Amino acid sequence: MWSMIVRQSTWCVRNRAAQLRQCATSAETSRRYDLFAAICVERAPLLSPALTKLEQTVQHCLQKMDAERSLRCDHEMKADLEKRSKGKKSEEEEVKLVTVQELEDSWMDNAKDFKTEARDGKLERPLYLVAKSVGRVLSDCIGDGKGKNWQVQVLGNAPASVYTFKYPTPVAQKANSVGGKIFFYKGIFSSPTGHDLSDEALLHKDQPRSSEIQELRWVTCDELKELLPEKYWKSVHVLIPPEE
Amino acid sequence: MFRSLINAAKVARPESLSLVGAFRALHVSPVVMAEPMKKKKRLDPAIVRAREERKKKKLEKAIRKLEKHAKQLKPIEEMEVPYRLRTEIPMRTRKLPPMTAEELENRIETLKEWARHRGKVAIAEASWIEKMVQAQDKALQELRKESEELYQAAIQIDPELLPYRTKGCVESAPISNYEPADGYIHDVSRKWTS
Repeated sequence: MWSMIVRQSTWCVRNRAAQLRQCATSAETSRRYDLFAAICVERAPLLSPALTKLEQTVQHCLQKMDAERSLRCDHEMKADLEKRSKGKKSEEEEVKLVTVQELEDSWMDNAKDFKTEARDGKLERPLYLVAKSVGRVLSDCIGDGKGKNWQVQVLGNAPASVYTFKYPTPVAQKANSVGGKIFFYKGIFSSPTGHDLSDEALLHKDQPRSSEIQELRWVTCDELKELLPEKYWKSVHVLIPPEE
Repeated sequence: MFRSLINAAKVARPESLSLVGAFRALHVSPVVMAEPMKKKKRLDPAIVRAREERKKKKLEKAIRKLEKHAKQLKPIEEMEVPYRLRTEIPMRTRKLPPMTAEELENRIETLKEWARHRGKVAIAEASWIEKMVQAQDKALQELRKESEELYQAAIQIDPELLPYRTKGCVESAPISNYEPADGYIHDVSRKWTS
């Protein structure tokens, strides 16, 4: 079962819950919920995404408009002058000056030599961390949120959304509570030194994983939708920006 | 003055005799030929006041001049167009063929589509923010139902949240074994200090 990183309710909550159970009537105890906290860990995109078709058209249009309304620069004036004075200058002078055409050619050659790395689709999109486990996830995957080269900053003290679920009757009787409430927090995964593309892997290496967690994976929004159960996804969905 | 000379002479050991301090007190006045001392003229208070007034006015004028200097805005060198270019404008304007009606239509259409798209994006973002706020309110409500203590802890301000800093994404992935061009930055911008 896939879920966001879940941390079992803190000690103070359990304590308080126990206290309440002791002094509450039987009617109230039956409505007690177990509390869980979960963190939606997001790694922001590393590369700006490629322009969509509309964006490309608009950019082309605006660039053209800018060029039309601009004045000619020194480079263009020089090119114009050279065109007009073709054949009028002596050979000596022609050899000395670097023509505009030659400059442009050398620039184009330099541009060709500059190669950028191939883009990986995953780099352009935000990724979310999911953990696969047997049954409920009970252990801490990100520890206290800091690693050698990475950190997860939890935004604020207040939970961002909640997912309530009810236990089936036998479980409810054993746990002495009706169900559970998972409170989601938003966490931003970042590298303070400057993001290396393999930073996500560091998280996997750093944390000693408990036996409960079978797998940790970084997924995009669409994959997340497929992995999580529907009602769970609805609570998580609100934390994800609408462009996804 | 004479007493200090005598005291200096009274010092026990002659090698430690130092009359320098004593001689400092000696002054020579102009030759008076036994003329009695002149009375110090008491200045007319009006004149004294007038002199002070003049000094004050001078200082105030100087201060006003400096303030005027400070009010002047510092010139932005990038915004100043060199005179040479101003005269060259007619030479530098482009001579373009007239735009066809079709091209104009396309342009207007593209820009309108872009405006529509951006409008939708703005609305989507605003609605997302609203949904997030509602979800958070609901979560806090549910939390309060369960535990007042946790609720109070949850609504505390997180001092580490602001200022929130993040670095934007770049256009291309870092190139392995890339050697960037080397050089020094020599700042030659003028500094405008009063």
